[in-house]
Amino acid sequence: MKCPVQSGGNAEILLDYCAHSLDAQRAALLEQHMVECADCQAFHDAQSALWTTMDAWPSYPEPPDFDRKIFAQIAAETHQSRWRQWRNVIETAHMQPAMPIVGACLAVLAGLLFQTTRPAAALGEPPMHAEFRVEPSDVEQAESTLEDLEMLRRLPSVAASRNTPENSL
Amino acid sequence: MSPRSLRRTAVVLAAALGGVLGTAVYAQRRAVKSMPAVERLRRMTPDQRRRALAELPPARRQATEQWLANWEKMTPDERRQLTRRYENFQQLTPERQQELRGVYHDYQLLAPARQTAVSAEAARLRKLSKSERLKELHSDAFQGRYSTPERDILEKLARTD
Repeated sequence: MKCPVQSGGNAEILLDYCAHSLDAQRAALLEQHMVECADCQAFHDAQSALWTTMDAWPSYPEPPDFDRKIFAQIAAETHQSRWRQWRNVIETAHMQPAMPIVGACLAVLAGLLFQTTRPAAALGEPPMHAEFRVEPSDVEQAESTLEDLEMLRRLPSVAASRNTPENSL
Repeated sequence: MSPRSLRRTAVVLAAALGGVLGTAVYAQRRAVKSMPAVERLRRMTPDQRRRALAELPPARRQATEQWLANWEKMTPDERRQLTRRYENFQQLTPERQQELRGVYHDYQLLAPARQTAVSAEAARLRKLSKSERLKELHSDAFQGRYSTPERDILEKLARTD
């Protein structure tokens, strides 16, 4: 028989033997080998000592709802909220100190988004009767613009977009 | 989160919020300032508008109020179209703009019925090609249909921009 210890990769046979799960024929062969092999004998002795110690370990009866509690806890962990999962990630990654900065960045981002959408809406159809400061030059500018607009309204052929330079006289 | 961390978060968030609100107010003011003067006038209360226009001499004030009222009466689509034409108008050279204003001045001196005829003729001429338009402007029929000031207006209007 090949030595299970020296050949390597065949140590299960020794473990099975120590656990009394090896068939009788192979057990007899191994016992015969161990008489001559000090390594296998030493392995057997160590393994037997471990089993003896474990057998001597006092066992306590488990509580009657032990399994139920364990499975309930597993289920709760599986279905925990996304927030909790994120919190766990943050806690395990030691990201807590960065949270105020992240919050501030989100607030600024929200503000910027608000700003980028707001002016277009404001200029499209702004609130009427808002408080505006109008300088005298503004009034003159408005007067001149309104006069031009009136001219364009009454002369539809002026500055109409169908004009092309090639068409000019 | 610990109470200290919460406090720190609250302070940072409050500062960020203050910054955002400040930016919003500033942007609003800037938007109002960059708004065309007509638009600002349009959005005033009648009282604010009266006070703003009080700077103008009565005749000009009355005319401006009338133009503003005409502008108000338009549908949003009409306003959009007119705004687009106004933008085209602004692309013209200052000389051409001034010439067109002069044409409009002369046009206003015509009788209402003649104004309608001239305006319709100008629109018709615009649809013609350059050579057709030249031919039309120099035709005897055209010369006979319109007076010298009317022909002058039409020739200037027909000069496409």
